[in-house]
Amino acid sequence: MSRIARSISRRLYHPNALEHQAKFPLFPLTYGSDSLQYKVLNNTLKNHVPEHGFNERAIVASLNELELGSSVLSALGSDNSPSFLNVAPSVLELVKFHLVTKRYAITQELDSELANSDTATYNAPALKTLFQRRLELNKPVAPHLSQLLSILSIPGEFLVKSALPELHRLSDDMVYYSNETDSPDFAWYSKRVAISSAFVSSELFMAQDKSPDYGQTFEFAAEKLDRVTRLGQYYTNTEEYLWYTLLMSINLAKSQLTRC
Amino acid sequence: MSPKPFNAVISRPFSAVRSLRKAAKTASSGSQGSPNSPKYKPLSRAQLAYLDRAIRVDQAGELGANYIYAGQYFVLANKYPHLKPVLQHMWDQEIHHHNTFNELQLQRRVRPSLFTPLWKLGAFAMGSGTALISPEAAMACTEAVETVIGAHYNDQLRCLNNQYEMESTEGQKGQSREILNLTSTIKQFRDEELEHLDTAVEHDSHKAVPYVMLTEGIKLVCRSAVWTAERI
Amino acid sequence: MAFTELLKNSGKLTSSLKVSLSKPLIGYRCVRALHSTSNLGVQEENLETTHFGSRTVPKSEKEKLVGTVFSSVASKYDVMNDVMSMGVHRLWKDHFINKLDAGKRPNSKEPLHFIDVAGGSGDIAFGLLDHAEHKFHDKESDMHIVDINADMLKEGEKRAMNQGKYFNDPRVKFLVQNGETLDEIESNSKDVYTVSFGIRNFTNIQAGLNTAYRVLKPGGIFYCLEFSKVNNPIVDTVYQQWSKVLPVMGSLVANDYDSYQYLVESIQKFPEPETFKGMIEKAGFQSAGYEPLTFGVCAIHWGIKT
Repeated sequence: MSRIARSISRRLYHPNALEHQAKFPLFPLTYGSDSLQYKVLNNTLKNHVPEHGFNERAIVASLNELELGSSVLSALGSDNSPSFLNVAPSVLELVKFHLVTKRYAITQELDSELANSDTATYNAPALKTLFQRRLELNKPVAPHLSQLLSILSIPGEFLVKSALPELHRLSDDMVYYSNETDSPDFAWYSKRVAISSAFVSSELFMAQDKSPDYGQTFEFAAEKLDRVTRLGQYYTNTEEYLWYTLLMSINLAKSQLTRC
Repeated sequence: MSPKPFNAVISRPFSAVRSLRKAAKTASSGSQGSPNSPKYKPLSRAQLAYLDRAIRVDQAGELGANYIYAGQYFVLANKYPHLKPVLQHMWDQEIHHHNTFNELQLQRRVRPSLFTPLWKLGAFAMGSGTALISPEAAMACTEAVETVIGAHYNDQLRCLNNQYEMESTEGQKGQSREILNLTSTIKQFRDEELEHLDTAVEHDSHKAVPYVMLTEGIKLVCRSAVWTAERI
Repeated sequence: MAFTELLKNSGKLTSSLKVSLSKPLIGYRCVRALHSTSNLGVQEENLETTHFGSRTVPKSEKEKLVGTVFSSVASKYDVMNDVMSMGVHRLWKDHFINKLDAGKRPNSKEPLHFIDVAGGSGDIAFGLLDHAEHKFHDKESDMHIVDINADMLKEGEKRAMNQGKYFNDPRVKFLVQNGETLDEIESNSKDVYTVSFGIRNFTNIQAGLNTAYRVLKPGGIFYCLEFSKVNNPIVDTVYQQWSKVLPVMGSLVANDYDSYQYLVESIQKFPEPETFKGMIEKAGFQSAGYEPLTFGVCAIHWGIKT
């Protein structure tokens, strides 16, 4: 219970990377890119998931290829809790690995670009670019997307602890690294929720998409994103309008009062 | 006093990239900021969580202060011209505080308080409501609010000074510029808030009619708001 | 003020900053303990000492004393666990086995070599093999059940005989071994090392972890179920009270006050989860981690040898 509460009220303070080391370079994964888990999962995702999908068979195939034993499966799954409804812990880790590494992949180059280039010449990409880049990365696993989405949406600890926070981190990253204007108030939330929902519906669309090179998915995504970002602006505009009306009506009431 | 870490940004919409650029700029212009210089060991989860809460609650608090003064100004400015410059001065400072924390919140990727619309409305109601009673009541409100905020900032300063001594990769101990900047920002803001407190007392806050009830009630409201904004 | 609040609320991960909240069990017991130490007649100052519950005893003694405790409870081991955890230990063990999810997969090449240390009663060992068989149709993986206490091992064998499975089975070997040295187990020979509710009885826990690292193959996993520190202050209060009642319950159910008192005290002495995680890392394991169960009454710890 307390664990669920903690993961919902997630801590997002990002200390300045020039002065502070990061504890886990691939947070929330607890291992770096030189670890055994990374090696196995990366190999699985690249070489075996396209064929087998997100399941244990893909991991075992990868372990056989790397000449490792089945015990590594236990090692992989150790961060996740087993659940009656969902797949094995090691497969959950594979899914998490997919989400996290793909999220880092869309901003990796931006980070180094930002660190190296003169900050004045740095041009942030549009939100749409990052969004499409993330969908591009789904192409190799697209035939297994519906399977992936069902694993992600089964109610339980994994949904609360990993799937939803990861979705939120994705949209948070997209806003942060793009040239999108961000708001320090309630619109902060509405914007992220809107982008998350646009992403999920685009993925759902992609899972069904039969068009060559997923062209229809990208059309759909562009339109969807456009619509939800406009919705986000509606919120800010509405709030401003309401303040204006409030002040106007108080003024009106005051002037009426002083007249009588 | 150390220089202000950020320039005041008065315009409303913020771009994260802009603050990002600014962060990169300030970091690289500093003596310790170059990518090859020693780094500090990672902050613990509790330390990060505390910073996260601190930024969120300070942002919400300054937002509240901003809207309280807005309410007071809205009611009092035209009726009592002698108060206008006083209120204007305090309000401007609060706007600056609010903008500073807005920027910090976006730059450090802390989520804002979920109840921001409520804080806005509540603060405006509190400011204009007390101002409608009398100018003295408005000043009593200021006094109560600034007392709570001053104490709250002091708590934060104590914690930032005590708990954020970090070891660097080369074995030296110290505080990162980021923490030092935050500390000096908070220190400056606390001094300004206490100045507002004095101003309020100078302008007869003690003559407000249900003085004790008013100040204690407002203090209670502020403390529970702080408690909530830290968490939600 | 806010910071202490935060420390209280942010649970297990703050333990590096946390001021220890747990109180010593009961005051008078320390006095009693001192008294009984002198009763044992151990007066030499230069002997290396360790903890036996809250008594400080020479290292050579602890093994013997633990032996006495477990020999005396061996026949009532199940009853004891049920009493101590109010039956929850069965859920913990189930979770432990499901989370480990070990077994030779159908399309995998090598069978697994398990070792269950301090597993005399065999419940974890048999559970692991059953899980592997039911879930993966794995009837090849083998198991070493190791315990320092021959009486406990006999309990396990008795159980195997009664259930008509894993008795006289070439896959399952019972072996009397000290978990700290595991003399008869070859280095780099095991895939899965499990120890449940056993490691706190080791005289030298670090030596036990180092040995675990030695016997595991690269890619092998260390998996440990052990009592831990409760991280919720309210639950902790209840838990402390429960610890006081336990020896009394023990004397009623099993007519054995002292053994139960030892168990309670050994739980109090066991390191905090963060500290224990550090010890696992010190032994050489990578990606060490832990999952608290039931508010941290118990925790699963793990580490990977790479």
